[in-house]
Amino acid sequence: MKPELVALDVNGDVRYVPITGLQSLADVLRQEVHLTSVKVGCAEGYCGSCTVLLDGEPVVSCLMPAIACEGREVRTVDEPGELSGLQADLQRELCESDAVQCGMCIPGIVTLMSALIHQGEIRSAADISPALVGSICRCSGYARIVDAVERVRAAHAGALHREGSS
Amino acid sequence: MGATAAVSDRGVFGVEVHRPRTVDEALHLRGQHPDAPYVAGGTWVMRAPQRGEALPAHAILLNGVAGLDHASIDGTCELGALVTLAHIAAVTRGAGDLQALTEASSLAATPALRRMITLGGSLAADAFWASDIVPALLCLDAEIVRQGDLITGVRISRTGKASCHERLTWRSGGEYSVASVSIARAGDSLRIAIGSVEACPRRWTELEDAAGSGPMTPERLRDLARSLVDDLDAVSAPGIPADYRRTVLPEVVARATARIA
Repeated sequence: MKPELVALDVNGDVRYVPITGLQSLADVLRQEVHLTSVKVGCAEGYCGSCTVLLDGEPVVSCLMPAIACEGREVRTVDEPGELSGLQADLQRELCESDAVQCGMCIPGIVTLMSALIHQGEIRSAADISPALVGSICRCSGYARIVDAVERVRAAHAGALHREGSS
Repeated sequence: MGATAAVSDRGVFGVEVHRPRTVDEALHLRGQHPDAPYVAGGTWVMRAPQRGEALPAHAILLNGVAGLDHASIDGTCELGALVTLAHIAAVTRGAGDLQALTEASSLAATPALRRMITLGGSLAADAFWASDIVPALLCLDAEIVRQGDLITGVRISRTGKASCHERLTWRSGGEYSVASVSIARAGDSLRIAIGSVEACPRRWTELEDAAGSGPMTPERLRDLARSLVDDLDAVSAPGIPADYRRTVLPEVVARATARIA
């Protein structure tokens, strides 16, 4: 099958990348755009390490056909875009609280948590663990990750509330 | 590289993808390639190798087809085939008669997958025994809307009083359920559907008939369910033998009944 040159908006840069058949978005981001922050763990949608934002919504890029992303906004943890404050703070807090061990799951967790906090799906500490059901971490036991996410959520709660009511 | 190589196998590279812009174009392409699956969210077709199935030679990608992403619950509930589970949960939230749909679409899978899995893909997935959304649609007596062989959406008459979806899992979510039950109350009768028990979700009409118009108490429905479970052709999976599904199902029925009584 011949590859097709397709325009992808990745982190604000529109670039033409060769996409073949049902090649996954994760594969294209890693092999063609060289964004190795997109981790491929299970390759069947359950571990969450490949989570990216597609038009602002978190998706598992290992199951997303890249060809379906033409003309849509793909955002990875490398270029935070409008969520920059939230994503940057999550990354910093996860590092400073020693919540990162092997690091395989972290880019996906940062992407997912930033989107869910921004969208108001995570409104309290109690919402964090259920939201992590699709983010598999085999190192940390989750406690430090959950605590770090909660600290960032609480710190941003006022700003997000004002944004939502304006 | 090993993990990436698993995604980059020749299977996905060997699929010729067609991208129609209209339903008519999609149907025309299906006529040319009768074995080509329609691809919406991608989560079913992309996992074909994990199910031991070959990827198709052709696929018809629907995400660019106009008019399949509508969602409205005013009067009649109308949902397009490309509406995601997350969107269904958002648009139906707060409507008591559609609560089975809200719960099924907000508890199935994971947050990211719920933003990918579509209504049409959930209905078209071949014999997906663990579906949550299908039992919910069955108990709500949803009508599947088609053009040709393409599912374009569902329509639900909002005549029910209340509904709910109850699922039993090992953890809080992110996994297939051991058994799920969707119940809708319309007047004096119940519509009951089950998932994750047999090879395909279905209405449990035997239980509906047994319940009749008698008292809809959890205890009575549990006892009736217990008297009928031996007739179910339950499926086994690693760690979940068929007998276990039959054993727990009456309790899931009771929990669901208690919530809409």
